[in-house]
Amino acid sequence: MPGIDVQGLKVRLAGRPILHGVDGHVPRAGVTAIIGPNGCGKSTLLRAMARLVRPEAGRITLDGRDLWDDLGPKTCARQIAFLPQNPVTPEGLRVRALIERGRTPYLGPFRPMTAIDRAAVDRAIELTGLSALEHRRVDRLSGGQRQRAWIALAIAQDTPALFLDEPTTFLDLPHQIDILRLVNRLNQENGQTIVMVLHDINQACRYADRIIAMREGRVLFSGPPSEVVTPEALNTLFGMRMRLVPDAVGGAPVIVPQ
Amino acid sequence: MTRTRLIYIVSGLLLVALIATLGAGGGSTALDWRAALAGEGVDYTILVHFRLPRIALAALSGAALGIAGSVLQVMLRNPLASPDIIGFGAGAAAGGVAAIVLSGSLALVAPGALLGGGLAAVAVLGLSWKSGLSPLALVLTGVALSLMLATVADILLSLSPGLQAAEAARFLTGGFSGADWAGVLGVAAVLAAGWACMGWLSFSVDRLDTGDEIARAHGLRPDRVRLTAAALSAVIVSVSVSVTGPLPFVSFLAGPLARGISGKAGTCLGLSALFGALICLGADSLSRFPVAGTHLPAGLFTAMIGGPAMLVLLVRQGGRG
Amino acid sequence: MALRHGATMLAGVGLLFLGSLLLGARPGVGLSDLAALIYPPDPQDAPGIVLREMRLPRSCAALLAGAALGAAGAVIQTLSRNPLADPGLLGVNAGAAFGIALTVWLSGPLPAGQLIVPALIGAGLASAVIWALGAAMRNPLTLILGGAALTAMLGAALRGVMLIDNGALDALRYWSVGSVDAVPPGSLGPAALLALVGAGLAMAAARRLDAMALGEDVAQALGTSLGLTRALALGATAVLSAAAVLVAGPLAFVGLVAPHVARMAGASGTGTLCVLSAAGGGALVLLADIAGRIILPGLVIEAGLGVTLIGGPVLIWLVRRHAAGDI
Repeated sequence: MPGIDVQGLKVRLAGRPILHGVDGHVPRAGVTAIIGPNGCGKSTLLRAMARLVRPEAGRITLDGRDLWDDLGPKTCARQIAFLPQNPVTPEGLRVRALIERGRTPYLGPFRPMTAIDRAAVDRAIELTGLSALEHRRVDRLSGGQRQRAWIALAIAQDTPALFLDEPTTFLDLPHQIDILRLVNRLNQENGQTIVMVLHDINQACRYADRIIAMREGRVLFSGPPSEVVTPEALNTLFGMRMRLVPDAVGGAPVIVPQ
Repeated sequence: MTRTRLIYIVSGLLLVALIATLGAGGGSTALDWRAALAGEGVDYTILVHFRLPRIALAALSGAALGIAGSVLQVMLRNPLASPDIIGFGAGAAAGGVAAIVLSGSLALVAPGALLGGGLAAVAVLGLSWKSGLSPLALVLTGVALSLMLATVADILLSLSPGLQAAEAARFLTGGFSGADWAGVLGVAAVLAAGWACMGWLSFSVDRLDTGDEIARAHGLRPDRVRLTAAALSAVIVSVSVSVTGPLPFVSFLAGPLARGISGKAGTCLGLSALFGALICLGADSLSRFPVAGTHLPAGLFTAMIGGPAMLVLLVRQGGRG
Repeated sequence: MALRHGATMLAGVGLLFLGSLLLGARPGVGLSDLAALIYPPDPQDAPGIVLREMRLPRSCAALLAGAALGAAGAVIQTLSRNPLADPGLLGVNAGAAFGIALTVWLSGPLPAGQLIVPALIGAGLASAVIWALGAAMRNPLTLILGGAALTAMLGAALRGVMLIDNGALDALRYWSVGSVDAVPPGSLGPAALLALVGAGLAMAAARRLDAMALGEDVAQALGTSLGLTRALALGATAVLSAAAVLVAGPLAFVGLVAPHVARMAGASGTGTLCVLSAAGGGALVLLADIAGRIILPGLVIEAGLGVTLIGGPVLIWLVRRHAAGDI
């Protein structure tokens, strides 16, 4: 089945079990949001799907190929781009130089940048609207601009799948929406498979066409938001009574605590 | 690019000037160039067997230390780390002293220093490894081990009879006065091999600055890169120390100078090597001037130049927060 | 809890002090000879002489230096919120030692009382460097590396002086390695006075440091002056280090290890931490000195070396336990 399949995934971090047998499916060319309360293992699931943590048991396949048995780190890096929640901003690095880092999977000690690489970087800069800032220092950008630069780095990686770990945290609301719209555009125009961890369940319902809800290292429910997000489901997820109000603009439900 | 080239040209000229004025001609005995170049006589012997190897050793070991230090700094994401602060230098020094004191001769200094540096590197890497190589843990473990190894060298010194203690003490204040062509060849070989390997590694090392998560998402293996680079820099430093004795702060200072002047980030291998060589040549030149009637070893001057430079760098870094 | 552990620690220090008086290369000193501490012994009474003239100053120096450094370590660790800070690792001790060595070299042997000023200047200058690192103190790595650089530089300078003046070699070597082998005559009194001043400063800083432990913003909201707190704390560190160096040379790691021992004994709050750290530091140096005297027959391993061989592994263990993030 095209897309990413997770079967019986168990992950331990520093000896502590984090995921206790996760099954799930991420369809190709869709936008999937992983939601759940703090510490439920959503970031770990995303990192495991990006081949960043080795599972204790279970398997993850990308278009039918096992992430660990069939793909090496470099091949995987050409399939999946991953943006962590808190990337380290190198001191003094310029925006363009940062975005060029996205080409790393295609380069090597004796394989310098080619015209193809430069074109990919140009396209990422254009898509994120960073043309005016490309010679600025990354550490002097505003939070919203910096997040755009990091996403541009992931775009330049030119992968079929893009994973984002809480891309909107620490941004104000307009910048959050700005980033989510950009991500949706990447999905629609480039057909990129998007998987992101989101904190805000309303944004997840609005911008994702599939939701994976997790609690205590297990998947509670998953599917299109209009089908699976119900007051009962939310009650079990957050342990809190919620009410669903139809959204006048986008059609997705809006969740209000009761 | 032109800026870098300019630095190379200026430094090259400076280098030639150093060699021409101080190195070959201006030691304690004035050299008769014509006689020396004629190929025989005392002046020729002085030139070929004393002055030239001394300069070559200073330049080569400086370059080697510069490369080893610069790679380590970039890899540990800290401009202040360097092999001599994280214990590699102290291990090699303690190994050299142990060889002198235990064998009673200078013959085993080189293998002793190599062994000491290697063991220290294994200890530092092993003790700081905890499901990965954290730069912080590596540096702190290195600082602790460094002090312990200095203590071991101290105990050995206090255990040994006068003559060996004097030899060991002289080894511990590094310098180039005992240079010979065999040592030069050894350092040259390790510099060539080390430079090639570091050149290969620098692609990955330069890409660790956005954090391990992104590096791994780009298909790199940060822990493996750090392990290899650390081991390589330990070998380079040990070989250099085994020939010259410890030269504090050279491996620390070269990288920040190279990056600061060229305005580039990353390992800057060529410029780091150049600045390492310049620092050592400068320190060697200073060591030819007697201070209060004594020729002080070059290692002392590298410390006196490098220490304040490091503090200035720290304060500047602190000011930026 | 802290009280009981504190009492146990004090009892331990007392026992170690007694052990330091009785144990050593020269056998035959027994409990009955302790009378020599009160009544001047007969010139023929060898054990009594050894006890009064050698063991007593040595044990007092070990206790004083250890206690001063332990308290200094507690202060600097609290101030920098860095559990790895130590006046020895940060170069404060090296500063004091270099100040003394330079003075001794330039003006010949001086009575210990006159060495207070250079020791204070050296320690003060080194503390000023740490002050200059101000913002960098947030980064534990930068602080430690800066201290290592300072120590290495001062060590090289000291070696340079030793190479220039061969005659001063022995006199200067004392100031490059921490030791209580040959306590400079007449230094105990001035050093004790200095340590008392340092303790006073530390106590004055303690309450303010407690406020600062809640975060600088909270401390300021509570009316604590950050500048004054830093000045008091660094001053206390410098004065205490100078006192320790005056009797025992630059001892590293004591200020690192002692506060951890104190915390394990349940110390909370800067004041208690200082007192228990002082006890722990005294115990550590006494222990290292006793071990150095009896471990290898016919050879004395200086307390400074012993302390490093104990403290180094402790530092490595701390680094491993804290892993990377939360140091």
